[in-house]
Amino acid sequence: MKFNFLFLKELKQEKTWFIMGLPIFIGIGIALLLFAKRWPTQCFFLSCIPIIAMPIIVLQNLLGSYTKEWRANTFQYLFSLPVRGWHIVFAKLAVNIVILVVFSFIASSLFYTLGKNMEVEFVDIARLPYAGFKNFWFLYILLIIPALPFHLFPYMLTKSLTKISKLRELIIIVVSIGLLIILFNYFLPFGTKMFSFLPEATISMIGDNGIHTSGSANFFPGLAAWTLWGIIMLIGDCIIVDKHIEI
Amino acid sequence: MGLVLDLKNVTKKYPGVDALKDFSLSLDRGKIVGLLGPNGSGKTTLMKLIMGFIKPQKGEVKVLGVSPNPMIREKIAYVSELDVLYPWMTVREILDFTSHFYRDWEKAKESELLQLLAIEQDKKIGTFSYGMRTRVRVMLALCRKPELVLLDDPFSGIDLVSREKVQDALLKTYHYKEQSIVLATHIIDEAEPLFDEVVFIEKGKINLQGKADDLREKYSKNITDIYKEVFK
Repeated sequence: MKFNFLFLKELKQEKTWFIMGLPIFIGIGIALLLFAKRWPTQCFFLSCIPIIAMPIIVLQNLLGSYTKEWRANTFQYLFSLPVRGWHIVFAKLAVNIVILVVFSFIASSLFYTLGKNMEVEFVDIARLPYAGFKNFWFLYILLIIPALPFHLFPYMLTKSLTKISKLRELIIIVVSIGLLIILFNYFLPFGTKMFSFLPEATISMIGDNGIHTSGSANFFPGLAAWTLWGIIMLIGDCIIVDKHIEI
Repeated sequence: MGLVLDLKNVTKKYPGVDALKDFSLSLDRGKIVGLLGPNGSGKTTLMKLIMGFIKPQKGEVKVLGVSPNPMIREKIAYVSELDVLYPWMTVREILDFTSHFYRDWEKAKESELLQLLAIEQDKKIGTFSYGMRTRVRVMLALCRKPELVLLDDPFSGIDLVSREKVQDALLKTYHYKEQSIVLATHIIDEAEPLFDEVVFIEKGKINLQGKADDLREKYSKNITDIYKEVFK
């Protein structure tokens, strides 16, 4: 119950996304579709930008939602409530996932529609009984979501240290991301083995413009390992917020 | 009666600063305690330790018999010295939001305090003056019936009218002998009549502590003058 109220508060705090962002996003989409007949290639490549940019923007937004609270001292109010740190982490993460899913859906629909106009055949995973777009979109979301707690972790780590300079904070974040990537590389073979019961996947991308790539990979075990890594990072974020962060 | 607060040999250090040094303090339930001291004496650090916002390097903190934790905050009301409320929320929104987290929230008290503190509930917090925002912060603490109320400098930087209104609200909502209030303040003369006990702290240590009446009798002075003497 307490989580619901925190979630609603976060959603209200991010209402600009929906009031301003959605009309702008949809407007740009309609404009690209209208110009698609005249400049199909240009429009198709322009439609890639939101898909690439959305995870970065949402990650920035997630970290920014913490920074804003710290700067405005509102964290002191939030932490004076009888809520556990993980409620706060989950509420912020959940709202940013909602933003990511809604906006990415619009962006990838546009990308897919324009691609279809150009007769590009998208990612096709042979062993799944879905159509191409579903695969593309689900995989995109599944790959991006675990990245949010992963990047949040080093940020939380720096915030748990009291009164450090901005430069030190940046250095710690960069170094921790690097170390976590190295650590993940060690974890990946173990994680992939753990999920080896999941099917392999054949990924192929064929286009009229001559692009043709295909191959079989431990895609789903790898994706499961990546998700598990995201969950481990999320637990880490919650522990840091609950036990180590000083307000 | 039992102790509402029990701190034993608490040390809290920040880089380059010893905020509290081997600090011990026990407070009985049902009292209004004045926490008095100059800037940087450790009052806010003490409040934050009680709330569990920070952890001591040494020593033990017990609040209502347990170590500070998020769930004990259901029994504590805390008014920060900082402007901690969301400026984009209206007073109505912040009241509704906060009320969801407490079982002891009293709707009747809420209406009474809105009137008493002259707060317009449809206005956004960001549009208020600092004094009005302080009134809202105090109101959030007083709409409930917590066992312990922590007020960190609620009179600082606000006008006389706001100070009087906050003081009125405090007295009208105080549950005698049931509630404990710890009030950290610089503005002693106006708050003095409220105190049952006073604790003078300086540089992270207790300088003087006692019942307000006993100290007045012993020094033949009011608390404001004792403060001036202690910190001269």
